[in-house]
Amino acid sequence: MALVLEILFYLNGIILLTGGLIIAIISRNIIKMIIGFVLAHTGVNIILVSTGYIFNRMPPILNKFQQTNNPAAISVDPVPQALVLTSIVIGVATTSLFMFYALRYYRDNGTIDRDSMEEHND
Amino acid sequence: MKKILILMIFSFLAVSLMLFFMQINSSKSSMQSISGDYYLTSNAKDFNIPNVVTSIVTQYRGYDTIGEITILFLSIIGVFMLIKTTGFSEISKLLQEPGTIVHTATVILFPIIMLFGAYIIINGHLSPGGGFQGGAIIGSGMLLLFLAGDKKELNRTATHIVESISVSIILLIGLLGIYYLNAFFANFLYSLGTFGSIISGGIIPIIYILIGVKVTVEFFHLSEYLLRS
Amino acid sequence: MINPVITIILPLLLGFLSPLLYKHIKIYFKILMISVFTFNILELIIIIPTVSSLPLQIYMGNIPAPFGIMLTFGLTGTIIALMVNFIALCIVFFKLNRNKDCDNEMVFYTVFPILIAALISLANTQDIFNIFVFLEIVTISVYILAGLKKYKKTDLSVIKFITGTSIGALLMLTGIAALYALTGSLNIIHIHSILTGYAYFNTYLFNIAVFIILTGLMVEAYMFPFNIFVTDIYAHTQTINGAIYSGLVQSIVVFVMIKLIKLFIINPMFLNIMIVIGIVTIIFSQFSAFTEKNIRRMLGFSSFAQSGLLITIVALSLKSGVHNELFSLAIMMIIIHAISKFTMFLAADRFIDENGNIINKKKAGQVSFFAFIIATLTLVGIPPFPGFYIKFRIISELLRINYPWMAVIIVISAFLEIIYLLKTARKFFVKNSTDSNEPLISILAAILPLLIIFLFSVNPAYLYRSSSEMDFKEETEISIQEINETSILNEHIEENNIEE
Repeated sequence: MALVLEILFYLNGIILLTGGLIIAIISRNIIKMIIGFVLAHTGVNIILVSTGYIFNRMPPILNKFQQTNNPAAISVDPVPQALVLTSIVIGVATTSLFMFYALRYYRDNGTIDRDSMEEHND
Repeated sequence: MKKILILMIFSFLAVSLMLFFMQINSSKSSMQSISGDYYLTSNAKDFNIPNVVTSIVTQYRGYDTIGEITILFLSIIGVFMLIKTTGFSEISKLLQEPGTIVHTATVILFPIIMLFGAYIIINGHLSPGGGFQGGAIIGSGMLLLFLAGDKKELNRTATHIVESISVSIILLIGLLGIYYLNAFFANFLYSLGTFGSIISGGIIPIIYILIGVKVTVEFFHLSEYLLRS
Repeated sequence: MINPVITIILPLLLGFLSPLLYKHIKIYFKILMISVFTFNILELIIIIPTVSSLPLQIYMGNIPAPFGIMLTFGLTGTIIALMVNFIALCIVFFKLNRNKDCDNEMVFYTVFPILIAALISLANTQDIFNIFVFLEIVTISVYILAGLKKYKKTDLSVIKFITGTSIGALLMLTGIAALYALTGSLNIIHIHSILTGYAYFNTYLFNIAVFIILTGLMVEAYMFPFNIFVTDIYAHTQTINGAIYSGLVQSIVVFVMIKLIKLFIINPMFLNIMIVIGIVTIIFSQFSAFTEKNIRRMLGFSSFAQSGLLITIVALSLKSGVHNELFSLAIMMIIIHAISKFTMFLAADRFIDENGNIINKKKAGQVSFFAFIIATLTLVGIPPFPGFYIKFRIISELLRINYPWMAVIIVISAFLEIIYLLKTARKFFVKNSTDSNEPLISILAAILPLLIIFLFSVNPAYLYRSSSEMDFKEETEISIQEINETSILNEHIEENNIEE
């Protein structure tokens, strides 16, 4: 049971990651690219947080007694949860900048196709 | 042709990742990692707070958090620059006029959301939550104000001042750590308070409240820029 | 001695305070910035004697070594940080009297010091997740700086750049997650000692994890297949971005890659991948630069070639197994390349237009000419200048450890470089009428790097002495010893062994 659950977590994350990256690379529409990157980032976050999961353990919020009596045996790994917090914020920042660049590109060119300019220039 | 190549590369990536994690899982399930073990065991004597994730975010790996708030700060500055060069055009005019339900619900919900967010921020070291989570809650609660048709212009100078000052205070607290204990971001107040009360854990709640203020302002900024650009 | 972390915190603080202060005290703010960078340079020069005997380990927040974030100010990292501060100082001098260059100047003075702080931190950190976070700061700063002045294709080139770097960052994060699941640590030196010290780690798992990190870094450093994304950002943005990106960001990304070689060294396969990709990058970039008309894009391609060269040299140096000086020579090459390349970009800014073509009528100063020519000669390696000394020593070391084909590749690429760079330099003489109408303060930006170049060319012994003091293996071993002394770690490993 435990193993199946964990493998499902990883499968979920990996499908989101690779699917998102494929969408981001293949599509010509910039908004779709952004959506792809957001999906991929969510996938990475799921993978990252799953690495700390241990079946049938407590969340790492422990009272005094638990903290002094071998807390490592009763709690899940807290590190990936802290890392994922950082990673989510980085994702938000990159996505917002990406979106505003897409907005400015749209304002100037009237299109959100990333290849449309190259066809009649260069 | 190109698409097939990309598909092949990424399915290869997916399969190898899946193999990797399945193998890892079966070989070392139910074993705590080296770092996790250290953090969990030494948290009680180092910082004396219940939430271990908070002490990792603000203390054990506090330098990463400095980088994190720097990234948020940079993204707001970048968005500010892009908006200034694009110029404002009122997208908000295209939004529908809010109905009575939205308006009334905002009046009732808004104070509750603010209170909840503040609770999440202040109790970040005692219960699940913290500055980032609470800041995101309050920031998106403020989005409700826009949806309810609040047309008031934001005072941009004031928000910039709040943003800059809150980050700078975090850095200055870190510098005080150099002054007292010769290590950046060291917890020079660690003996303060008793386990489980609001004032405990030394500089951790102070840092988390400052982060909360900053994240609130920035989420608010982001949604405001997106709606009014 | 002051804690050298201050060299990171001060520029960061300056950047954070800029939205508050810049509007009110413009000129004083610029003076403040110059003094911060000067202070950093002095501080780093002061710590060099201490650091050259034993690397300075700094534990953030007093957390013991492998668990907290550790910065190591070794000789290499300190010299690279010194270079970053020096280039930053020159760029600020250059920027002083050019107020119309970007649409919003406050943004430049906010982002630039933060970028510098992140670069200094990247040069010295030993934590792999910290490397990821600060690489993100660097790339986001580049997104913003690139958009500051809008030309016709700026936005599209930035969008392409964001696509490339996001893919790299996502791959790198996945790799970090995999490596963490495997070893339970994030400190590079600790991971290295775990992987080499305990044989029960499954090698093919390790290969997958490190391969993903390597791919992510390759994308971020823009090795061969990916550099098509990034040349646009040279071509369609301001020239000063070229100086920042090529002089600062690319050198530091390559340096980070060299630092992470502690992971790649465990399996020789990764070194082989680095060598192949490096050589393909050199050849592709040099030929592209050879056929390129746009000067900015040409200089950009030349930078990619240099990164490929550095990575190849370092990989060869570690692969050969014979004791050699290639590693330290590669570090010195990073420095010489960064200084001469950013000088070329800044000097070229005076006489090219937004499409990268040479302008006829614009006044160009004699100092800029002189700087461009000297920097070109340094980069390609003409005898009196230090570039020659380094290339000569690299080639002789390569011959000594039996890689003559690599020496041939270096010579060929140097020939291509000489042809296209001197062809460009010749055009300036034909087209421009010189006019020494430059303001004194921006001449400083050209004169300071020239002074460094002359210093090295008058006495290459400076280069030689500092390069022979830098030894990769010693630095690693010292740090590993210190970490192993942490008692908690040893206890934990013993427990685990008993469990197994």
